[in-house]
Amino acid sequence: MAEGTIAFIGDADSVLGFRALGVRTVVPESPARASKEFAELVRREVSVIMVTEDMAENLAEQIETTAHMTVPAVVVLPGVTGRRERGRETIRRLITRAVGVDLMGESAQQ
Amino acid sequence: MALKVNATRMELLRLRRKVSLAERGHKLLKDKLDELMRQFKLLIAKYMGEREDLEKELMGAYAEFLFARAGMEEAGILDALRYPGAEASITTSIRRVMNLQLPVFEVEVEGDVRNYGMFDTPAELDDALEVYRRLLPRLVALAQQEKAISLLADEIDTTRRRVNALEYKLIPELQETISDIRLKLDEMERSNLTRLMKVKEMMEEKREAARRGDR
Repeated sequence: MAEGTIAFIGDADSVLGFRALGVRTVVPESPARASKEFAELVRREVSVIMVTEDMAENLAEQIETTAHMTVPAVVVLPGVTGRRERGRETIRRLITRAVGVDLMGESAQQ
Repeated sequence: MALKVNATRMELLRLRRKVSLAERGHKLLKDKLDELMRQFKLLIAKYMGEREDLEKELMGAYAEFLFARAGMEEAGILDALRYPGAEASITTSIRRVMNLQLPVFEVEVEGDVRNYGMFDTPAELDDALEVYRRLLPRLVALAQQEKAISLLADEIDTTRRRVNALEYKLIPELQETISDIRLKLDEMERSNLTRLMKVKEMMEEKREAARRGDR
């Protein structure tokens, strides 16, 4: 586990540039394929999995199951198609549940 | 009665021991919760705004990349990127917070991202890839932070549940049972006492009657 890899699942446009950095890019052509690829990445103990927001929608359940594992760390990022604040919302919900107060909301108002 | 137990002295002792254990557990868990909360707040303070900044920069990088791409043929860019010249490697170590294991990542991008010919690619592609390269460590750092936050949040949630279960359910229930048993034992004691007194009275009456009969 010491020497890990980074993977990026998403549409070709978003992912392609990271390929030049040696990031393992995965461009699944169907949702079923996406979930299979994701499972494979988890199984091989990839350290960090980046997922575009579009993909994350299909993989929500699987991402949830990795929540209590030390690796992989899954991070949801916007794809080329635009930001929809999905990643932010997820974390915000977590914080609200843990603390009972919407800490991030507070700072937004300040 | 809160719990179904026999009202005996043995049971009373057992329950008392249980309460003191539960109280000790409660205190420990509460301390743990406080510490988790402290760590959590530190994390949040650092995390705040990171994602927004990074998302904006990432969108910028996408735009740059797409722009560079637009200046090339589809096959050309695929060829250019087919064999990555750089190797992003990541080392994972573990940071412990209470009973949790939080991953700590360290990224290193080795080699040159430009593993393609100079002539058939626009200069914009080089720039875009350079931006990506700068972004990658920060994206990984973001993943690390969010991982830590989600693990901590989960642990805080379960710990709080446990604390509350002890504080509002188990301990009051045990204490109620203890006081019930004590009441019952006292009641038994009193009824026993009155019975003994009654018996004694009856015996004395009998003796009195016998003595009077003797005369």
